[in-house]
Amino acid sequence: MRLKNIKPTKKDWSIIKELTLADFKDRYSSSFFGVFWSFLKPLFFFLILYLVFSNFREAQVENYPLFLLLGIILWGFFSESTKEGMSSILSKKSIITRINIKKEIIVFSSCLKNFMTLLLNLLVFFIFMYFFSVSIDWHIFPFMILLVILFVFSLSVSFLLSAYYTKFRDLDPIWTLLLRVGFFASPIIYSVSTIPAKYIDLYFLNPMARIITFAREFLIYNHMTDIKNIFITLGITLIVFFLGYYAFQKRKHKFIEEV
Amino acid sequence: MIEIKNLSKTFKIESNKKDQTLFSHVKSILERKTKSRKLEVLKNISFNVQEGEFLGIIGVNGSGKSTLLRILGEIMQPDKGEIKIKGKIVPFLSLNMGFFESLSAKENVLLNGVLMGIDKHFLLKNMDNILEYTGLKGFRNVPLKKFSKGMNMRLVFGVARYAQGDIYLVDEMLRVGDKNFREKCHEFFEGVRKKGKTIVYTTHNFNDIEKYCDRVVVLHKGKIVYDGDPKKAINFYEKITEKRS
Repeated sequence: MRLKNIKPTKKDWSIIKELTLADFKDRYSSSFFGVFWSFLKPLFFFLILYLVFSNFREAQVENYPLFLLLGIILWGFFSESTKEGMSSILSKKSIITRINIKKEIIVFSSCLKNFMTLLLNLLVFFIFMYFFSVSIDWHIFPFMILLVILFVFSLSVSFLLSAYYTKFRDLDPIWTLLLRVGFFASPIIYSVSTIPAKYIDLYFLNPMARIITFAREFLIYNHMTDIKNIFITLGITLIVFFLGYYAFQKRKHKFIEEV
Repeated sequence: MIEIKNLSKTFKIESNKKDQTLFSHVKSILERKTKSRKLEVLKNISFNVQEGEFLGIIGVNGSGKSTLLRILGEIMQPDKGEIKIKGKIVPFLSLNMGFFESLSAKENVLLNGVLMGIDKHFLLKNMDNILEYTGLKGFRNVPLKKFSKGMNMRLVFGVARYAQGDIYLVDEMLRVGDKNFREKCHEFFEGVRKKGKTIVYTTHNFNDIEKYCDRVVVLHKGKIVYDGDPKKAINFYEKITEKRS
């Protein structure tokens, strides 16, 4: 694996910028509500889950609405970006069969587009925080680091999935199913404290469980987690990144024949 | 300048769409049989293109022309062989813009231009010229999905002609669109040729071959069966097609 080629050139950056913006505009210009859909989708989902789960014992958490909404937003990003990242090579077939472009750019810009939506969703979350009288303090900075880790993790999984999606089209339903399992295997509607102590180490092998838990501690409870935890999260993410990137490098020359 | 030595390319063809699944892959491993068959598209091809030369490539459908152009454009990788290219490649491989249909003509021009390596500021500055040249000035903010196929093609060509390079790879382009558009294409490639650029052009059209090409390569079943004078190449090609019919 040649890592020196990983750094985008100036031309790559301008392609990433145009492609991401075009993709972003394309998604929202075709619907009546436009960019508001990106807010409405997680909000509706939040409302439904809140109505269903707010009376459960597991939901007896301080500031449960904020707790739930942040979980939904972060998971929503992971789920959407990996699903779209997986099929990005295939959906940009008309570009890669015509122009010699780094295939990594396509997956990267697909994740970046979803990251833009995530940032918009977080703006709505900040408005919610205001109404719940939770203030933003210096914990926003470790939260931003966590967002970068989340982006890299989603990108890594997207690399891994897109590497094989052109060959195995049934990865789509398989991944959708795994995402559904992941939704319940991550602390989105419930708190980590409900997990029995003996399983907690195993449970925290899931980077999404870590990211969502720490994000809440930073933003909602203004509590700094042990810095060691952030490094472990970063470590797991980097392992997944090298796996995904390696698979992508191995397979990317085949894409053009398989799309 | 292009130098190609012993170039080969084989495709794996899955016998049907259902084979493109993880399930059937695992199944074929367990049953120890492969369902895909191999198709040798290019077999041990060698040829050179000199700087400033207009090389035509002719051959029946499926003879390997497009694959060869894609390999030259570094879009596809060969299985074997050596390729040496001196100069920057400009691919004119398809006039189908086909993506981001809900975005406007202007936005698609920007994206296509940047993808072809053209500076964004240059594109913005020349947007009027590009739209004027393609006859689409009144359609600047109209989404691409409202465009006819011809308008779409004109737009792609209008942008691509600004791409700078030394070697132009052209797939069938001079024969599409209406008379007016074809004339513009001809004009453009005449200009490119006069500037001393290299052009590799695949086509089925003999008029173009006689009019433009300095040399012609005839591809048949993945092999070069003739390389030389355009007129003789056409005769050779006609003999092959007669045999086929």
